[in-house]
Amino acid sequence: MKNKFLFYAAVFALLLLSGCGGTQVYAERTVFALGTDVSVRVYDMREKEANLVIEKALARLYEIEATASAKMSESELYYVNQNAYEGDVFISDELFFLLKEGLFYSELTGGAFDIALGGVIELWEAGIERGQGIPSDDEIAAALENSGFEYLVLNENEQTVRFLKSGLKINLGAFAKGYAADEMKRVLLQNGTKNAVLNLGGDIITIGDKDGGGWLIGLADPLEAGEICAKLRIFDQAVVTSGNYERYFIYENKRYHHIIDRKTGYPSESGAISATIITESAMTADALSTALFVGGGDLIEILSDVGYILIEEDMRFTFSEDINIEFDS
Amino acid sequence: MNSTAKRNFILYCIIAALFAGSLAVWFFMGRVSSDKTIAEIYKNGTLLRAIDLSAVHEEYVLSEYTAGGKNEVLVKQGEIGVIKADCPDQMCVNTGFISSGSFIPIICLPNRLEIRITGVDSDLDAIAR
Repeated sequence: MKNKFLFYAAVFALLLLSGCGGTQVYAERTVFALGTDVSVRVYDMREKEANLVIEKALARLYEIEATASAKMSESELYYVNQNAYEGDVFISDELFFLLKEGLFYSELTGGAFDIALGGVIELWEAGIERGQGIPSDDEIAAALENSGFEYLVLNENEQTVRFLKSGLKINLGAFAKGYAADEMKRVLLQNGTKNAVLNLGGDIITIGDKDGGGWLIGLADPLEAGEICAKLRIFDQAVVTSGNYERYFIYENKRYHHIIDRKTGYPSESGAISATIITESAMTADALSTALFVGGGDLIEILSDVGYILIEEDMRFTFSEDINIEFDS
Repeated sequence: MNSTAKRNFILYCIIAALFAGSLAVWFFMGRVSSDKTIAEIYKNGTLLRAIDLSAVHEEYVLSEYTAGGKNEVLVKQGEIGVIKADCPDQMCVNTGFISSGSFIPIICLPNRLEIRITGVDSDLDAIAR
């Protein structure tokens, strides 16, 4: 009797002790790549081991950046953008996969997400990143004339790409981060990681279920900088948000954000201020969150296989039934 | 004291020590997280400085230089924010001030600067933004 009491008391004490710390953070790294901040946090692993697997995941990130960056002059995509109108360009397995998937989502969303808007995006980036104001209507019309995924041709047998318009440019900015997140997750899993959170500029992907209760992800409030407006509980999934509140610039008292609608060539004005997708693949979530932001409520009908949250200008929420969302009271 | 009594005495001591240890850790962690608001400033992912915002009595401006450019950081009691930057997109300035309970960091992508509040008393694991 006494021994039983001692046994249970000892177990209780050990549980209490282990519960104090919860799941401990063993290692975290933050770097800048693919034009954004990237952090990797690995739990439940010895620090030295965790740092090693993080290094492997980051090495994969830099590989993808060297392939898919539209800005790095030594990247494979940059070469394609310079040469694919002149003739077929043979490309790597990785870039071929990205372009093929990119075309799939461009077609699926009717162009709300379009990987071949690089020319228009560059015009706006000049304004946002170099403070050169907004492009003229004529410049936008000319860039739009040479844009669109329908002018991009992939040859599966030859593994080549060719552009049908001379000024066409691919930009994977709304896609490559998600793909990189998926690939970094794969590397972490291959190296024994059981619990981790990856954050690529706010694109979140998780590994495992933490302590069994899942991961609690805050959703940035689109109207209150630094605040959150909802929480999501996820298990081994990705959450990606596209919004107009983080990257923007103000010119002549008007605010211009960075997500372009190919129908107009201007920053999207669908009424959406935040669009979130929750699904297994961060790449899918990345593409569809951009599409939902640009397409607004009209896009919802194609989102049958993923969780979504759409926030419109009046902070009206529309979300799928299958997600675990909590609002602060 | 016979051997059984001695063994039980040792077990009681171990259990008492575990309880005391647990309570001490719980108490200490609770105090640390609630008493201080620490802001950490990172350049290109490397911690540059940590500032106890709760201990700031007079506000001051830090000029942080990186390979990308310059950010002017205003440090106030309980708050920190970028007030001026030579980056073109001004995302860091637009974020405003962060304080205890702020989950979202201030980030300047062109200058590779990040300011975050540590030990935020939160059950959140990440922020989608």
